[in-house]
Amino acid sequence: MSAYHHMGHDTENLIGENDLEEYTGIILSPVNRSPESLRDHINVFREKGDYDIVLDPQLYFPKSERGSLREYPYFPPDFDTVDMTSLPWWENTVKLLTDFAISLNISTIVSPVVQPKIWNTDYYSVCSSISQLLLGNLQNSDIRVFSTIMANVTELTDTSKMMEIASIVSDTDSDGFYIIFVSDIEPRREFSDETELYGMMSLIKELQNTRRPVLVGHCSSEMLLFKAAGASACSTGKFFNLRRFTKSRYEEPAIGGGQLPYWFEHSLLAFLREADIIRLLSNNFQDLVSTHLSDNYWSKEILSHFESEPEKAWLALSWRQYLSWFGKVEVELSTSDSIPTVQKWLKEAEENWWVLDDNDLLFDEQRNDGKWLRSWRQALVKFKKTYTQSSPA
Amino acid sequence: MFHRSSDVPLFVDFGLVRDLLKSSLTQSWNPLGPCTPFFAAPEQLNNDKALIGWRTDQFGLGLVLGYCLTGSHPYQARNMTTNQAIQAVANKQNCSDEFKALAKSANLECLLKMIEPWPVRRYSDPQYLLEDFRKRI
Repeated sequence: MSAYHHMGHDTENLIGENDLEEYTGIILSPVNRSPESLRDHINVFREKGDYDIVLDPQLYFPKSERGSLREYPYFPPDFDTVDMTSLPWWENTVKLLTDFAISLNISTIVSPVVQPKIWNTDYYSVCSSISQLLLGNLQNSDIRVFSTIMANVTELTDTSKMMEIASIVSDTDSDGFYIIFVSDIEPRREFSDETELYGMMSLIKELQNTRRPVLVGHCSSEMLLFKAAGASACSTGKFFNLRRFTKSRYEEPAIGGGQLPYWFEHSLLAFLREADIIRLLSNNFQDLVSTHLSDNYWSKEILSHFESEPEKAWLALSWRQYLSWFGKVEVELSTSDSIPTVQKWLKEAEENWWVLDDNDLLFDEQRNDGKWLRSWRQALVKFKKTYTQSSPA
Repeated sequence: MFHRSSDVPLFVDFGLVRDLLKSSLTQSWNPLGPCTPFFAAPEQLNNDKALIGWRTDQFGLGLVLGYCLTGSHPYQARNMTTNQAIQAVANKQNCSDEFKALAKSANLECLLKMIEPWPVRRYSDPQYLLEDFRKRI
């Protein structure tokens, strides 16, 4: 399949942008804009291309500021106080959501879910029932319904728990699954727990085996592993808080300020700050800069920008350079045997970090040392052993 | 079940239905859910109510078909008692090696999928189950 673009604050201009052609899906973000603005943007996107436009109702947090969410007709007035386990209550909310979805020119909707305080089987049963309610309401429309599955990554370290979750959430007739992994790891940092990564990959694989598409939301560079696990598509966005599911998006004013520009480098599978790119270039490590899929239109723009206007900010270019890498990886891993390809990339990247370490080349960002790649490789080896050498009947 | 003394099989639908929006009649604290243990799925034997659905019936049907094919419970390895076979299902172990071999030799691997311990690994849609059977029979 292809990459999905996660909308956030002021992100519409990235749709149809140069060298981002691999993005054929768009996940709308009601929290960042009014219903009228959302509708207008959908029309603009439809004029730009044939996108799978996905509505995420974003009813994740009952008690938060929620940006523009209160303006939406499906937003429940009693959201802060109601019993979320009550299916009759959800029936009404889902009805309002259905009416709103039908009024938009969208192609897919993901079912509404709330992030729970406790992740138990009852919670997942309710989520599954909500998805079924939505599906029932939309059965005569052309809109696809994907079941949203929020999964706490620490829960997935227990294989029985992961299988239990997969068994419950797959008990729907939905057209696909939309997975959101919830973690305490800050958006800028890479996942680095092998068992958590293996659990995430296993959940993707088990759901994919039900013969329905699996879209993984809010991904960053770890999407390599999700693709190796069989994810149909992964979504990402220009801000770090779109590349990882965060509560802060629903609490703080959704502005894009205070960010550092990062370059995404394929040879190290890492985000690099400007000083570190220059450090590589000035220490005879040019062959580790702008390699393979990070050698794209936007990386060339950035390098030329460093030469011509070194003092000028390049944040907007950095978003595009990463997004271009992500889109190209998504396509490459959808059309090739993804596990050996990802294994090769991870091995090469880890070896490149060793070379840098052997040469005492240390980056400004202390924790940017490539150490997460060891757990990524371990998770992939374990996954390969489990799912390709003794696949289920 | 057969119709009187004839060889016409009879399927009975007891017509038990429940409004899923209402609370359940089966108490969650029961260690064992209502079932015929010998033909029950792990989720029934463990009263894992959240896992019970149409795929639970698929498991039961798979066990019945497997029993008809081999004359023994698919989870009952040689030297195992009936209770041990039921326990093997409840513990979500794999079916017996003997049954796996017989199902494969009869080109009925689809039975193995029907009796997977975790519902997510069984057929996700009755249509897929039918298609797979039609391909093989």
